[in-house]
Amino acid sequence: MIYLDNAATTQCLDGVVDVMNNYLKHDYFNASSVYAPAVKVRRDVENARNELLDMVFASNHKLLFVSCATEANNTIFESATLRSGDKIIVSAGEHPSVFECAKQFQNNGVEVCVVDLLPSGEIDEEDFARKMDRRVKLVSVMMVSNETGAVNNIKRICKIAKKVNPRVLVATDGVQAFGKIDVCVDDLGVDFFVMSAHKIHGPKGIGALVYRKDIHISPLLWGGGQENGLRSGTENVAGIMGFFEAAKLSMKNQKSNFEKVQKIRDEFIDEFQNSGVKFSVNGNGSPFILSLSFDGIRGEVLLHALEEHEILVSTGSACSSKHSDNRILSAMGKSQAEVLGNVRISFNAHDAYDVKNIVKIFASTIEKLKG
Amino acid sequence: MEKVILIKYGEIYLKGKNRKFFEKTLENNIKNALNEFNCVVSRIPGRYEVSGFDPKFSSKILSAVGKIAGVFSFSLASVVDSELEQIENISIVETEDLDGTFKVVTNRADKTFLKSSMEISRHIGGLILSKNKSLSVDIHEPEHILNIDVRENKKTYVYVSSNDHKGIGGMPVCSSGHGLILLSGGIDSPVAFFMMNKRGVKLHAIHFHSFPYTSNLAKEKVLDLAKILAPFNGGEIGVYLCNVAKVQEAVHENCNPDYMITILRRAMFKIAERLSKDKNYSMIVTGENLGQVASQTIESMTVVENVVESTPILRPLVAFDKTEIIDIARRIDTFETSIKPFEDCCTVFLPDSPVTKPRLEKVVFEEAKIDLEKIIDEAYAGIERIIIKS
Repeated sequence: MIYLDNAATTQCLDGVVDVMNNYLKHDYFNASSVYAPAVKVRRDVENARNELLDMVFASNHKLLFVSCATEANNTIFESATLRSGDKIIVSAGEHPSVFECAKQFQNNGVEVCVVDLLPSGEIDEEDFARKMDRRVKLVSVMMVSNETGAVNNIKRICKIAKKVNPRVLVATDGVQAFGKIDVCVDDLGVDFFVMSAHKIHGPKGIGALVYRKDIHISPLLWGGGQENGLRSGTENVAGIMGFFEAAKLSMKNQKSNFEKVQKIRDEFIDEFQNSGVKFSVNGNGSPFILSLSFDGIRGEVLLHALEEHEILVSTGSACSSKHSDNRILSAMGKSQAEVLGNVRISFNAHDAYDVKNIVKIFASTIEKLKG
Repeated sequence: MEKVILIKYGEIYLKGKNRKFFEKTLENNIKNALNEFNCVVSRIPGRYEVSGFDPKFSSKILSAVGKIAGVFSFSLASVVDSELEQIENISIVETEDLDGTFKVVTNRADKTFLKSSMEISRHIGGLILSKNKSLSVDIHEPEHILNIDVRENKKTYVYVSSNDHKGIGGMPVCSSGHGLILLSGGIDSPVAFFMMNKRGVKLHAIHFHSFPYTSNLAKEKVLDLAKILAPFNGGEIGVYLCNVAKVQEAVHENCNPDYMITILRRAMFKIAERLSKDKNYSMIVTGENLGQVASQTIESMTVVENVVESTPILRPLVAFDKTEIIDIARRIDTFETSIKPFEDCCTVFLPDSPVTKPRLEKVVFEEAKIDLEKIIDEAYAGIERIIIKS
């Protein structure tokens, strides 16, 4: 099998599984219990929390462990205390966990402004500056697009936002950024930063919300008061420690992983160019994601045809692949044909890819489908 | 153009012949605090300069410098050679994103520089006005101040007011000796800790617990507080953990329960003094606050203090209001940890009506019912020490 859908999820690394195994089989104690072995577990969790904050250079922030990035994004919207008549800004490229969340608040009378995307996939900063006013309470713009890999200049967006309204909360979904490209929350100036373990070879079911120290977090879950009362529910210790291990490994090799994946991506593009297949690249930024549109073919059909060759790709975000349209590519101004012909290939730095052969299979499959 | 952090000290200026000792102590403390960032800390006349760091660490370094006692203010500054053209260029860069009102403030320590401070301010101000049309001058209440610091080392440091931060002031830690603080895990003692750090005292902490009557989490809470306080204390704290459950058991079984807290606190102070003498700490520090609770009336303090033979007891919060203490606790980030609901030893075997105005003879009479010295010896022998680093 050739797995080319690493933006959807990644395989857990052995080191991560080993760490988790320890916390499932040996140090399995409830982190909120009061006897010494449980206190040790709690200490491990707190250490992971502090180290993760250090990894993203967030010196004025705290970190809340949550079940996934969707929960983190929902918590942000809840914590922004939005009322009817308030205004929020999201980009057209946001993941559904932000976009759909915004829509829910729209139903409650909150004005939602959607910022256009440039043809290259980044947000249109001029459009953003036009839409930004003193009424805006929350801005949510992702750091790296999960669809195209386009990288937004969050620092500049934050600066524009805070200049117009110093009290505005700025959030960035960093799920496709953390562990892959440099992240310095202090430098970005954002109030919220979201990350997830399973995109960096950690387990599913664990993520984190990094939030500025003085922000009041409104809990989504009430109960036993874990996470300082901000997120009740028994701490997912194995998940947290697996996340931490995956993060450590990603950070340690971030530079070399980046370079390796950059080469792979370039090689794919070169090979596609040599293959004679007609295609275009959607967006350019993070090398971990390569969004392609093939001429005269439906991405979905190609996906299934490739599956027969045990090549797994996606037609955009797994979370939105159930929808026939692709909201994000449309927002980038792509033609209907380009949207329909879209396939997203996403890499990891641990697999070896026989690029020539993979592209050959792509080309012959496309040829066959076109008949 | 390089970004550096320029650190100014305050009170040390007032020192006479021994100023060098304080300057050196502060320099060592800065180096210790910034050790992990691989940067260069150097002393220039009247200032310290931190350079050679990865810009990613800027905020962390600034945050660390903000916890060093003896620092009056610190600024993320651009540094150039003291040549007019370079100062002009960097001043334009530093102000290019600003709008609103501004003024230029120049401090010319290098008297050989060709222009006076007024001339530099006027010249650079005019130049900025011509380059940045969004700015206008207001010398009385400007929104932004561009600081130009021309130093004797032939370097000029340029920074805008938003990059200028107030330090905690006071004297460098270690310059006023070592002390032992009674750290309970409540709101007050961490604040007392900080206040003494600010006056240059390096602190060691003793925490009294009553395991198994108090939980491990109460102990953990104190260690969490120590971790938050460590940067103020020069990067680490030695925390002594002492179990006083036996004292409480003995009082509970043999004495008038209303004297529980008084006798317990006398035991704590005896242990604290013994430890201070053994380790050569020159003072005992507490977070006591006059009139706050039963054990903090002047009568209680007097009776408790009576067991301490020769070590001074300092109570930096004695005259503070609770709200003032909470304000500081929030500022130094200990408040949220302090209010976590784990019982400390004072709340175990809590009497219904503790004496608020104990009389010494009565306390001595109650105390005589138990062999306090023997119990204290045992508790002292069982003290465990944990080093907490920031």
